[in-house]
Order: sequence, then C-alpha cells, then structure tokens
Amino acid sequence: MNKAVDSSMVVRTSVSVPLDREAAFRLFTEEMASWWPLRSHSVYEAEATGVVVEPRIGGRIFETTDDGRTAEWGRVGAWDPPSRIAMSWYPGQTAELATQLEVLFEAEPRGGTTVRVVHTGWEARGGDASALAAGYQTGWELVLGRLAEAA
Amino acid sequence: MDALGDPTRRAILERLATGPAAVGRLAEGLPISRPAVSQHLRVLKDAGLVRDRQVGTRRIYTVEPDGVLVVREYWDRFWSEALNAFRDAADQHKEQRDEQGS
Repeated sequence: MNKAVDSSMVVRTSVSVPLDREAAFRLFTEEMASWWPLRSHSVYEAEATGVVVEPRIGGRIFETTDDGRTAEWGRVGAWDPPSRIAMSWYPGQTAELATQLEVLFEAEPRGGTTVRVVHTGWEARGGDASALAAGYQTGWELVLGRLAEAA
Repeated sequence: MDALGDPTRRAILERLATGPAAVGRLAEGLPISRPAVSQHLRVLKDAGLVRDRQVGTRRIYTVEPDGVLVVREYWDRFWSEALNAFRDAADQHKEQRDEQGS
C-alpha cells in the first residue's frame, strides 16, 4: 500500500453562515436544489435540475433531470440533525467506489453556524477486486471536468 | 499544466491515487480504448504525475506524490465552490428572514 497517499488524502473545507444550526441544516438538506451549483457539480451538468437528500439512514442523495433521469451521488450513513450528516459519496460511479463524506454543523458564539465538509476514504478503494471489476463510469470525469472548466 | 486539462486523465489519476494498476485494468473502467489510456498515461508520466515499472509482461502504473496533490486540489476546489454557493444562499435566506421580521 502507498502510505503517502493514505495520509495526505483528507479534504477539509468549511464556511461560516449567518443561520442557526437548525436553519443551516434544513437549507443544506431539504433545499439543496436551491443552492447546489448543479451546472458545474453534477453528472448531467446543464440538464440537471434537482437534487434530493432522503432524510434518513440509508437514504439516497441523487440528482434529477426534467425528463426523469436520476444519478445517485451517495447514501446517508448518519443522520443527526442539526449537527451532522455522514454519507458515502460516488457521483457518476458505483457504490463500490465510494469515498466518505461528513458534513458537520457547529454553533458559533454569535449565533451563526460553521459548516464543515470532511472528505476521506480514497485509500479504502485501492486494490479492492470488486471495486476494480465494477469500474469507473463516465459521470465521474464529467464532474471533475466541468469543475475544472468552471474554475 | 496541459496534463490536467483532460477529464479522462483526471479520472486515471484518481484511480491511481487508490492503488497501482496496469493499463488493462485502467481501461476496463473507462469509456475509451486501451491505446488511448496508454496515451493519457504517457502525458501524465511526462508531467511527473505517475511513474511506471515493468512487472513480468505487464507495465504497472503508480501515482507520484504530485499526482495525489492534483486529486486533492480538485476536491478542495469542488467543496470550496459548493460551500461558497451554500453561504450565498444562507445570506439570502437570512436577509429574507430579517425583512419579514421587521
């Protein structure tokens, strides 16, 4: 195994918002379609019009198009409103190739909320025969490709 | 930087960030031919992002530390952009609430 890869692959990002945790959690999950940058961060890009988070353990996160297509992004592993969601993450891929995502909502002293995303788990996919057999699908490149162009 | 200008190359890099693989394995998971994968690997190798070694009859590719950084940078940017969009929506949400409340 490549230890250098394992130790360096944790992606952390956070943002501060002027809402309490309950409101931030609701906006993040229930109204995800209203803010998620679907055009650049989706499998179907310009055709993607909605995104749904099913609010329960085992629930799906998926995008939708107006003509009825869906693309699954992940599955909810922990659902603890208003403080935490954990999910597997595999937009445009199969669940066998999932990485892990955690979204944390932390109360700030002055009433706002810090939202943290911690993205890990690439190393867990390495050398896994079933994952390799499942293979990549085209959506993954699209997600990263759109992102690069948008930047 | 042209090495990173192609989505397929980033997909290959992401795959190699999870463990070494031969060309055949990489091609299995991609919607392009094996020669095309080899061509992408050559570009990545020239850019110093992957290296290869001969094992018996197969050539095995491994990601270089720089290659891992590239994958990481993509996700850093992905989440920064997503969370910035979330903050914009939260700001709007807050403004609307304040207006209704006053």
